[in-house]
Amino acid sequence: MSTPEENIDDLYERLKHLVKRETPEETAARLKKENAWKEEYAQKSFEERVAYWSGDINRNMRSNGESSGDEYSWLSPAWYDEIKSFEPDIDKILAGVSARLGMMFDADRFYRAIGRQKPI
Amino acid sequence: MMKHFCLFIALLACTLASKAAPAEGDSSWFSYMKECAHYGQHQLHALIEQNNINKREGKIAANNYVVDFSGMEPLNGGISAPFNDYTSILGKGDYKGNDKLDAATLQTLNKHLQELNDGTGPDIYVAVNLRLGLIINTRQISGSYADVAYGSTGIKVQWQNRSEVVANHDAIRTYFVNEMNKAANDDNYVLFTWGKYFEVSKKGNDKDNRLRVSATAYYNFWFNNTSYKNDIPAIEDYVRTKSGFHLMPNQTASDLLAKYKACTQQLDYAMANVSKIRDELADTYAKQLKDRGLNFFNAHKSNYHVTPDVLFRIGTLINKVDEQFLKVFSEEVTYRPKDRMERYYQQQSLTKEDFLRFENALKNHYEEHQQLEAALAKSTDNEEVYRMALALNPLNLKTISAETRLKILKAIYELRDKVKTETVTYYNLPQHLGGTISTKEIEFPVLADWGNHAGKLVMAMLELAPVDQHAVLAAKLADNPALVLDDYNRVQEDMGKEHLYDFVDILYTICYKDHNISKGLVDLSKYKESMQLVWGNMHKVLTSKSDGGVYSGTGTSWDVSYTVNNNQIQFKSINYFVEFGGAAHVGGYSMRKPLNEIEVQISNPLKEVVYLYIDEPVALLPGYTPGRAYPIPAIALLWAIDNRMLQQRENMVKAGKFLLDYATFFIGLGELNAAYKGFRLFWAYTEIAVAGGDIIVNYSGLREKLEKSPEGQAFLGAWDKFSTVVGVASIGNATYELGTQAFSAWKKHRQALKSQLNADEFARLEKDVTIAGQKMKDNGCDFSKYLDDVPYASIINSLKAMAKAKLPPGFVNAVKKLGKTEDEIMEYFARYQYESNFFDLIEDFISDPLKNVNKLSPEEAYTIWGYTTSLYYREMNGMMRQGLDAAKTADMAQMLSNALKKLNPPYNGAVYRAIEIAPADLNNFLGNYQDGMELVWKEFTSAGSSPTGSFQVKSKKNVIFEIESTFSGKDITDLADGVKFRNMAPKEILFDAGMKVKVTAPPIFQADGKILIKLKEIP
Repeated sequence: MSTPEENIDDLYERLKHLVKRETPEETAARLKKENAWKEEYAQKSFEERVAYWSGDINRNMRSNGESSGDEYSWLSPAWYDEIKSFEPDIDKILAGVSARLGMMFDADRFYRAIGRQKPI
Repeated sequence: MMKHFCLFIALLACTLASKAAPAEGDSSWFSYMKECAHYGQHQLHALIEQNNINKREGKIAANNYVVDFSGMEPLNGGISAPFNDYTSILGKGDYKGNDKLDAATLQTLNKHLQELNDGTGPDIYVAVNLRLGLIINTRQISGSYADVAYGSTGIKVQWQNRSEVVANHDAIRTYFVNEMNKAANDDNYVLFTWGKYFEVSKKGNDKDNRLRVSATAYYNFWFNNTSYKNDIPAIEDYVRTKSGFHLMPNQTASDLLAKYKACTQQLDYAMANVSKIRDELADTYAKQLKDRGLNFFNAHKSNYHVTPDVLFRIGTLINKVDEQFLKVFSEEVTYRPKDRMERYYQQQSLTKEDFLRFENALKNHYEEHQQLEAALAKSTDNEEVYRMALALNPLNLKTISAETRLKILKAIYELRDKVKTETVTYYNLPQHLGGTISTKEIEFPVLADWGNHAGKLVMAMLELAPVDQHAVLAAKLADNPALVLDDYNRVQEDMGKEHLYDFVDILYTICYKDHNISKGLVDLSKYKESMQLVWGNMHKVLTSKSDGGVYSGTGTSWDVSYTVNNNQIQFKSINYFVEFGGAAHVGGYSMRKPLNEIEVQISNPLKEVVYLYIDEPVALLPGYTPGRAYPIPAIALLWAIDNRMLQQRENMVKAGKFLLDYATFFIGLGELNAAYKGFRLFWAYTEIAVAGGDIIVNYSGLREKLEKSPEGQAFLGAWDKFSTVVGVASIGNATYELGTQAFSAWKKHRQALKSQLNADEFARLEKDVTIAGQKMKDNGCDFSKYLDDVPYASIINSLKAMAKAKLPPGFVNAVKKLGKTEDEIMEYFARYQYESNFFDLIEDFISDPLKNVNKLSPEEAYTIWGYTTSLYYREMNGMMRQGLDAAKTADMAQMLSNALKKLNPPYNGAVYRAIEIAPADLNNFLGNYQDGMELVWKEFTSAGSSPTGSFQVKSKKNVIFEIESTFSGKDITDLADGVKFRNMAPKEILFDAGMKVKVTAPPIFQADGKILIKLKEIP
């Protein structure tokens, strides 16, 4: 959800003169792709998951950094919670991500953005 | 650029030929063939290099032969795969059931297959597989057997796997047909392969202009220095006119097309039916696999210490025949009928006498081994351990169990300084003074007692000598066009020829690998033409030439003056060997040269090492350095390939462990060290070496001291667990957790330990912990927060100097204009180098024409790569987006823009990018992105060729762009920090600043609240 202060329907109401609402068929097609992604993800080993989230986070940090100058503002506790719902090992994985992103990564800011305490 | 996993392996043809295509797991014989084709393609690269073909022009000016070999994939792929297994494919037409090969064609094909199989056909077959590449198969010419495969797969990078090839089949076919039509005519020989550098070649039949990317080249390559060279014209003629298959000079384009069509039909059918075919062949393959596995292990059980545990794990890898294999194996463990061994060797074309002789030698060797190893296991004296280890198997430490090997490595570590000192003083280890390497300087191997392997001990120490000593030696060799031993006879008599070659090999290895000696030992030939000879003294010399052979013999060494550097005359007084009369090729001794130049012949795959060469990043193989070669046991690689172990990650890991176990038996110390820096699959076994050399806390007295205090015990407890796991397991969660424990223990007790130990002991321990931490970090686990800053700071200071020397001044100046100080820039890249070995990679890219296909200058390459780091891109983009401080951004923006313009071709296709727009700003934002509107994006913009997972979870990224890239988006994957070091999924596309986009559809409000905007890049 992109706007914590309003639900999706309210958001749509506010923007509907500028957007076309996704049709049920389009929603189904998108969810099918997203489920396929999750199924593929579920087959990955621990190390592959570390690699996956390293690349994902790095890419999104960079696109945000290019467009807004802030590499971490896109993250939120909701992001963490949703991933945690299908990836129980996300804490360990994020430790590996932190190592892998190395000097491109500010762990303090990252954990603050997702509302978690940085591991010692 | 070919984006392939290339195996450059030198194998006896008969060994390779004995391997049939397997059918396990996800692997299909298509994949197997593809790998063979890749292998062949690499060979082709090597030959093209060898023959100075101007690949950079994208053409092969050559007398090439195109032979359409419809339906020969089985031969290409399996080489000796039973052709009968494939004949069923040949007769079934395409996957739609149409256009079966006519009976006559099929009969011809089968006839030639049969001829090839039983050796009754023509001497040379030349075949081009229009889908999988060019295959040349030759055999039995004048009694010499040779077999080589060339090939390539896919005309475009994105068509690498079967499904993609199928999906793009029409496009591939169209491409091929068009190229064929353009190039083929009755006067030309045409070579079709589908790699970037081997596009269609079109050349008149100009004999003088012929280059030999063909069987001819092969024979030139191998037999140019033999009596066969006189046969080459005849061979060439034979290939051209008498092959069992059609050669192209007399073929028209329509002939080609017809044949291509037939070939394509077979492949269509096969691809569409691969699972069915696989099922059909599964039983046959399972049986072959089982037999081969048993024979393999039978051979190994007596030769090497293959433990039951290893065998069990190997067995579990063979999924489909697991049960049967283990059942049969359990029988084989208790009794091993000799007839099975005989059968195995018969399959290898050896006689029974060979087998008995070999078995007897193995038996003696094994018994001697057991005695020595037993004595070694009992010994507690490090020096004795090491000397006995060398006696067991001097340089390679082969056939020693992993446990013993670890003990030896520990002993080496303990002894390193001591032995070094001793050998320098006692054996006069060369200090590399003066102009030539004389027998004075190599006196140590002469004086050493080779009977007791002391000489090899010294050579091992030379191999393990510090880098700076190698550097001295390298500098010495750098300007010598030949290695001259000034009293060759004496050296050879005292050392023995074999040892002398080992010595030269070590010199070559340590110098060539680490110091780019362009002349040195091998580049003799290029100076010949410009030499003026002056009478000199008679000497005996040893030279190694660019064909990889080592030459020796009676000759004269001359004082020579020669010209170099564009007619600038330099006078050098050196000894130079001029061969006459008695010069003789003394064998294809394997100098460790860059593997894209020379094959290493493996005469015994059970004992020798082959090199795994990977020229591109492969997602399945993180951690290695592309473009480098890593040694692995020949037989292990064969086995792994044969069993399709390179197909799946899970199996890769298992195969890795398998290889590791064998690696401990096969690979020598120097190679362990060489391999250490790269291939993560080998991480575990290399860490054994690291454990012996760097991590294990084992030096005399220190451990005992540590054990006396609670802090020391706590540290050792965590550390030993960590080291043990590191030593035996691949990287993973367990290693990470144990590493955390170990490094936490270190940090917690560091001060207490410092007070308990003397300064030297503590410094050594701290250095080892630091190194271990860094090595773990190299493998993805960062424990730096547990380590002291002092060693780090020291390293960073030296790396800053490196950065200053390497960063192009124009790039540095542009970054400075963005507001960074020079010190900040150097500090940043020093840390970057420390973290990632960045300079090696980018310099490798810049200097490798196969990678740097757009000929980016160093400044351009650094500019692109620099943008992908975190150093300045945010600030630069921010200023450009807001139109601020143009003076600051102008230089860098211009350089980056120019570099991107030079990168071609543009990326065509959809790319994805998600951004965050504050909810309150969405109205305004969307007002600018209505259907049909055009916008200019002022800053540089990156995107990925696929969406990421975070696009679909609840991040604040609420706008997703799907952009159709057309002309300014460039693929910077090879120069992107994210892809190279952070596991970002390729491809990374970067758009030039000022790109124009047009909204092509109304923004879509997704049910999850995110907004999808479709854009197209416009001029």
